[in-house]
Amino acid sequence: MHIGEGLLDLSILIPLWIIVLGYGAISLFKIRKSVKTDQVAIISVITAMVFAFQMLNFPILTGTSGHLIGFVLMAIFFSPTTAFIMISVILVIQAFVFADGGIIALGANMFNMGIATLLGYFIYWIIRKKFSTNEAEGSNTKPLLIATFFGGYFSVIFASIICGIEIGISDNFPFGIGVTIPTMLIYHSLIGIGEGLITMMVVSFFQKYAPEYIPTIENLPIWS
Amino acid sequence: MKIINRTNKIAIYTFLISLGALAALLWIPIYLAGPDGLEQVQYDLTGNGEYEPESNFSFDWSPFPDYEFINTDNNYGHTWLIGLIGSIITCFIIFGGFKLLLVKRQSEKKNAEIIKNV
Repeated sequence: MHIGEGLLDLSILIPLWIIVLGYGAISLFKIRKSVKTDQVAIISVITAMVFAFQMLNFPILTGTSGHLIGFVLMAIFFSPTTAFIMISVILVIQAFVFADGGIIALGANMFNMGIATLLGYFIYWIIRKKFSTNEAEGSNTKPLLIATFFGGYFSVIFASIICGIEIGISDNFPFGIGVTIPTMLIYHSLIGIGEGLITMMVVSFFQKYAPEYIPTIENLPIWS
Repeated sequence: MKIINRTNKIAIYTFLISLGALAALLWIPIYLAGPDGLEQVQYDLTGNGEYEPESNFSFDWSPFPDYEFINTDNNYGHTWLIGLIGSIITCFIIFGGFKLLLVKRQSEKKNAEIIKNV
C-alpha cells in the first residue's frame, strides 16, 4: 500500500505531513516517558521482523498480492504511539534505501499505515476488553487471538479506505472516490485476512513462549 | 562468560526465527512478485500498475531500488538477502534511536535531581 511519487497532489500531502509531524512529536514525547531500557532490544527486533515480513507478498486473487502492514502487531506488544514510530522508521528506510513508496508521499504513507490503522487497534482493544475480562490470562487465549485477528483485519480495511479517499480526491488521479474506495476495498478485504492471520500467528507464538510481552487486560493501553 | 538475560535471548531468538521464517516462506514459495493491492487498483483503473503521473521530484540515490541487489540472479536468495540487509538496517536505526531517546531522558532526570539537591 505504498503510495509512490506524484500520485497525490500537494493540497492533500501538506495537511497529511502536518498531521504526521504533529502526531510523531506527541508520540516521541509519550514514548520517552513510557519505554523502559530493557524494552529497546525487543522493540528493535520486532521492527526488523515487521520489515522482513513486509517483504513477503502473499497471493490473493488472480496474480495480485498483499503484504503485512504490521502496525497492530507492534501496537499489541508496545503501544500505538510506539508502533507509530516503529512503522515510520520502516517506511523511511523503505523509501530511502529501497525506493519503495515516494519520499514526498511519506507523509501519506505514514498517515495510512500508522494513524488510519489505529482504528484497527481500537477494535482489538474493544474486543479484548469486552471478552477477556473474567478470564485468567494465559489459560484461555481465544479472546486474545480473535481480537488480534480482527484488529489486524480492520487495520487494513481502514488504511485502504483512507488511501482510496486520498487518491480519489487527488487531482493527479483520473478517478473519484466513488471508484477508488470500492476498488481498494475489493482487494484489501482479502489482504486483511492475511494481515489478521499473520498477526494472530505471531501473537500466539509470543503468548506461548514469552507471554510477558503481551500486556494484560489491566495494563492494556488504549492509545499512549 | 556473561550470561545472556531472558529479554536479550528472546530478542535474538525472535530475530533468528523471523529470518528463518522468511527463508522458509520464500522457499515454499508463498512469495509472489505480483502487484500489490494499490498497484492492482492503479492497473485496473488506468492500465498501468505503477501509475505515477509526472512528478517534479524523483529520488535516484537509493542503494537498492525496488529491492534489487547487483549481480544476483537467484531470486530466492536475492529476496532473502535484501530482507536480511533491510532487517539489520532497521534494527540498528531503531536500537540507536531509542537508546538516544532514553539516554537524553536519563540525563534530564539527573540534571533535575542535581538542581533539586542544590
